[in-house]
Amino acid sequence: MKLNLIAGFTLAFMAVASFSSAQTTPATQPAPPARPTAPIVAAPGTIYDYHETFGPLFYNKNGNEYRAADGQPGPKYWQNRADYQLAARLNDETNEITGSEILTYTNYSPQNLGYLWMNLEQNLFKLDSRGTAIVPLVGNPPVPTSRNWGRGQAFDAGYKIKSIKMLGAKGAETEVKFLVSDTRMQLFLPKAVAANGGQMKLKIEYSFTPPNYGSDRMGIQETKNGKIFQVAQWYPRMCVYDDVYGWNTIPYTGPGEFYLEYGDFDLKITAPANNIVVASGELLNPQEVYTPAQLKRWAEAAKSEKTVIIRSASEVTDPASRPAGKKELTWHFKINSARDASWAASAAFIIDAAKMDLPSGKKSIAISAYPVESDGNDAWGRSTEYVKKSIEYNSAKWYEFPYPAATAVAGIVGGMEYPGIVFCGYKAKARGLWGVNDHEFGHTWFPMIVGSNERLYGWMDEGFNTFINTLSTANFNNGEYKGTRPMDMHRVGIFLTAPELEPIMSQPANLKERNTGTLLYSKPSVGLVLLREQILGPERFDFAFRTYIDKWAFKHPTPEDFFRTMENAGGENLQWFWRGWFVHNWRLDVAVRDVKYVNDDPSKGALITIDNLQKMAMPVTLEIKTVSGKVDRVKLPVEIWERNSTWTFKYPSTEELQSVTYDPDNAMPDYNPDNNVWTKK
Amino acid sequence: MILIMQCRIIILITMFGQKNKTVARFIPGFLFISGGSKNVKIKTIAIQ
Repeated sequence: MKLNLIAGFTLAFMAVASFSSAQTTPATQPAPPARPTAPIVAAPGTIYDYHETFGPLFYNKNGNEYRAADGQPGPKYWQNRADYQLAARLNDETNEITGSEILTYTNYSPQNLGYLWMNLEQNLFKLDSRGTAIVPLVGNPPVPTSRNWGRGQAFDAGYKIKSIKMLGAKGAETEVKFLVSDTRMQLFLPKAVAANGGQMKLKIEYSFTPPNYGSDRMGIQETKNGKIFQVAQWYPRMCVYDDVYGWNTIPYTGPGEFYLEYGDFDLKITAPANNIVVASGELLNPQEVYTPAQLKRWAEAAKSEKTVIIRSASEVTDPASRPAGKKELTWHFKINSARDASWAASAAFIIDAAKMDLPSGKKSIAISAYPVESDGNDAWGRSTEYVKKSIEYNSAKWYEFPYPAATAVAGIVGGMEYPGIVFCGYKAKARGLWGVNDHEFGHTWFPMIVGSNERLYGWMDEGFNTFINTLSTANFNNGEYKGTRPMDMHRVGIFLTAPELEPIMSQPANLKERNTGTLLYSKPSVGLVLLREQILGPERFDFAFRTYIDKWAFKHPTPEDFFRTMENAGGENLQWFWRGWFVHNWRLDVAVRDVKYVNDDPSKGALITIDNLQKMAMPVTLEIKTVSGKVDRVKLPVEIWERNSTWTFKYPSTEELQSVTYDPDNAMPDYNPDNNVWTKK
Repeated sequence: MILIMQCRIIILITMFGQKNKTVARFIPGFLFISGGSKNVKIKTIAIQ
């Protein structure tokens, strides 16, 4: 550094001396040779500011003992834990669900917690909820229109909390005061839950009636053989208390999904005996709820690569397909290391299943439950095949599927994910059914394994999942549902960076509903495609992405944890990319402005000038054609834009150039391709 | 959760009584189609 400073001063002195000398040199003396200089010029018409794109201080805070600078959880990372024993009874005539919950809450935080917050998502469907209030009017005449509410159904919505008691060590029960505010409930504890591992048990008695349409995440579908209940957000659930915000109490207004603690779940669902119940996790008492013939079929399915029918379409209306002699049956399920558990029930279910092979050698089982309306080989008859192949692929590629079963349930919900169970539209078929099954079970990795905060950062689960769906879909059955044309990123760039869009880094509730598809799903997914294929390359990207999943499995990462992990494991400073694509809605527009020749002689080399006209920067690929038809490609790193909005480089031409084309494969989201080609005049 | 329309959609809006008058619109991302009103017919003609 010292030598450089000396050299710099020397050069400065020489420059001044040279200038002084030039002023006093007689005109007859030959001029000194020109010092090569790089003129500081901006590309004509550019709005690119290289400091804005590449400047330092991207992160809001340094790494610490809780969240390390390299993106992994630090040595003092903590999170709390919620274990649930849940029992519920379904009345399939009134639709009412009556529940009892024993919650064991463990406080690993460094703070004593004298009050708790819980989620009461069923309250969204009250007509006076905040979520109902924000539904916009659309059309003429104006009609409240949104995907994220109960469609205005007037019924006795919301939770009825009968009692909340704290359970003492010797069985003593102490009444707990509580306060309900929209979709949250605050509990005022008689005794604080101690920091660093303190534990408490609560018993909550409650009931609710689900809406027919529950924000496309739960609901009831009528079929000719009975109702299908897809039941979720069905018990009071702990809000997350974390090191980022403390209590996360943003209300459930519909757009933002969930942020939940991990724990083990024990479920006992009691339903009329003609119903079949499916749920998150492993069924512990199959002999009590299936017929002997069906138990044999289950055993066969557990060893079968091909789908085995457990209860066929023709058996759905046959009373012999259900155990005889009881009015109700209780179904007992267990799922561990989960952040939620859901279930479905219907008398109308066809059931089929097949074995899943996991990389460690463990087995799991893929299951589908659907009505006769959904049956057929072009529809739900292939559902289990789709579930099996999707989960097997993602397990081998990213992280092993952690649950003993994976059940796809057909019903009113278009597509919604829960641990080990998903709800999908009963009319879905072929490519659409593959897409929804693959997507919903893709959520196993985001947010079921990697438990990010969906309420705040929907793109971290929907977008990451949409990205892994591109790979699983390309892989499935030799590309059966793979698109026939490669993605044209120029056209994609027009839509994904349209000026009317908010940045990806927005809360879902902070986005126009029409933009959620782009900003939660497509744009973050395309961002990862760009990172994988154009910036890091598949090998480095896949290692970094696996590292992120592995380090944050069953934990709560923030966006910064993700960015830091990708930079550290990928070995690149990517802050310029995060800024342009995720934090801002910047556009990319690179132009090929000019070609000149050294000393006007094409055999001495071509000087090619490209301009960066918008705020985003990306690496550059140019295709160069000569007049005799030779074709060559030149790759320039993103660093050319670190301190320039225009860049001229020498291409070793031996003859005149016919054309220079920026991004010849349409792989970059350059929204203005009109200026991408220079052609010899 | 599934993206309802995970694709670009071209919808053709035909005004009844105005023969051959059509409007093609490109709508990215999520879209609601709540059905046509009395004098407007909405038809999805292509999903890309």
